Amino acid sequence: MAARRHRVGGVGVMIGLAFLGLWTLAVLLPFAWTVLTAFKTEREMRSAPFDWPVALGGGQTERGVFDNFSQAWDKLDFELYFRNSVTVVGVSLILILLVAAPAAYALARLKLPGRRVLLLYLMTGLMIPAQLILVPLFFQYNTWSAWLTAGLEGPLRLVGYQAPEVSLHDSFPGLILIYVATSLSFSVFVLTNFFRSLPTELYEAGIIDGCSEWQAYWHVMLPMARSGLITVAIFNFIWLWNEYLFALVFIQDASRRTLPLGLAALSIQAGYRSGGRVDAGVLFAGLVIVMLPTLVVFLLLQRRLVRGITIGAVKG
Amino acid sequence: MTQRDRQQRRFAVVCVTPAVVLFTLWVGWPTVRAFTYALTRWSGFGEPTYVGLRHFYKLLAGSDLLQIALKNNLILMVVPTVFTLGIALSFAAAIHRGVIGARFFQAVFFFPNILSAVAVAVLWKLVYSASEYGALNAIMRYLGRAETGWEPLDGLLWHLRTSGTGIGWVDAALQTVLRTEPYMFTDSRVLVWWLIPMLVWSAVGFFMLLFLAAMQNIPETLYEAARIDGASALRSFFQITLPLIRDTVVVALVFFGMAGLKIFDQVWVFEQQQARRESNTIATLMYARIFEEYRVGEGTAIAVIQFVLVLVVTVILLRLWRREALEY
Repeated sequence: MAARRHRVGGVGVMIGLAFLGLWTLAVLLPFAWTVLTAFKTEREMRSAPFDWPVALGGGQTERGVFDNFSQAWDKLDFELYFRNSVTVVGVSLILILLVAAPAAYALARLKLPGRRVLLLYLMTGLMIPAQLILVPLFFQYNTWSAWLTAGLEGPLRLVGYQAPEVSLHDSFPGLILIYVATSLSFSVFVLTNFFRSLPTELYEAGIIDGCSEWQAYWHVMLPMARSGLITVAIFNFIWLWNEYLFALVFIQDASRRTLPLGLAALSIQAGYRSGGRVDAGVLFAGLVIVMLPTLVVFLLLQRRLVRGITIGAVKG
Repeated sequence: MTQRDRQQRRFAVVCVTPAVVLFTLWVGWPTVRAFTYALTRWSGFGEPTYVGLRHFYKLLAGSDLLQIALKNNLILMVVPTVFTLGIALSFAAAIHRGVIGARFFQAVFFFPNILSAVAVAVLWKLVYSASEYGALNAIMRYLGRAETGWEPLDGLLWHLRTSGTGIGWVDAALQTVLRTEPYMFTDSRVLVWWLIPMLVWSAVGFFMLLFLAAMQNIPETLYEAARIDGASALRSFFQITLPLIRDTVVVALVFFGMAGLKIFDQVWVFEQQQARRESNTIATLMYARIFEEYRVGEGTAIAVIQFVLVLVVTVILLRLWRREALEY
């Protein structure tokens, strides 16, 4: 912002500040309450819902400070869900970048007949709700799994192996492929714009110096596009880390749950009435475990995130 | 065609192929299939029977299930939008017009937006919870005198319903509002209304960012001129700021329209992963039809209706608002 802003007089600013302050409290208090409650025993939660947790006050407690957390982490398998989420999201992100970046590069910069049509085709995905493809995909996976099993049977029998039953259902590869494919439209869209904005001189110089197309892409263009790649990775991370519907449909086995599935399941077990099968404090701890990575990513990459959104907003 | 052009084209084909194949098999083809599924009756096993447009007739005219879901979606599209836009616009304007601490407020308000819908729903369910540790309940216990439950609120509402306030028109209004018995979020009939504070809470930050970014592109000279002409801050907002960020507001409306039409996670968590007739949205209705009742054709027809609505809402919003472009 080059121009100096014209500031409104005192009263207006004070009123504005007051409302902004109130909203800040409205946002932060639920989190503070969640974190504090996660350190409480069920009895404490009920008798003193807004007091400082005894466990954090250095007072005498009947159990450890992180009891709720360790229960969620060990007994309720949040460690497993966490690892599952990291695996699924991590592999998905790598694949998304590996598939989307070259496609975006080619569609933005290379001579390719019909590239506008191809770009438009990929962009249609931005309008298609997940719910529309959910069901066909579900039954498509039946067919594909059968094909895979049959296809593997011959070669494997030749080398003396019992052919395994291959299924895309209830498996990480199946879920990851869905995540990659459904992220493509957005990722290619952002990266195409990004590659278009890069200068051409370095590419030309590289080609003249005898780089192959591949080398020019990998050693020259891709490093220049780094910040675009990071932006795409962040937004996809947020989306995938939080994704619920696809995981709900495609993951059945409890050992393969991602964190959102685990949290939803725990919230149902704990219920909101007393006498749930799980101590309610554990639910608060689980909630904190789910929110923490998002908070870390947010704190580390907040400025980039904000910039990504505001650039998008200005471009419309 | 030179040697280099040929090389480039070959490389381009290699680059594009994985994305196009993946997209076609996992998104394009299922989209096409959805439209054919919607025309059949199928339990998911065996051969589907072709039934033409029967599902659509039945859904749109034959039962009120879809109507209830659509009503819920409509509420979730309109009400949170009004509140969020109002709050986000005024916050953005306040920061734009000189309130300090922009970076801090942006960061804090934005955070709930990147949390998973599941986590936010679980959090708010705990805030609303009727057990002793539920935050709202505990607050009311501190304020009131009752021992447990939502009794302070219960008592207040009961009192208002029975004895009223003594002011004629207020009582009449209260009677109308409170005559409908249920109001707890555990009652499916009113669940959507309980989702609204949560949706506003998590969305305000994102839209504040959008609006603020748009506002910061408005040339300062316009405000200077307005001030010299004696325009008040409020007037500058309505006459300068709002018209000039209209495009961004439209984008925000489209976002909201989409989110309201597709909402699933929050309802699903609040309803303990069960579809309920009164609180269904299009998405939960579809889910239940397919994965609980194995009515694949009908469920897909619901998804198709949703898709059409997404398109229609987007086009209408863009048409209504993009009539003229303002230059500055």
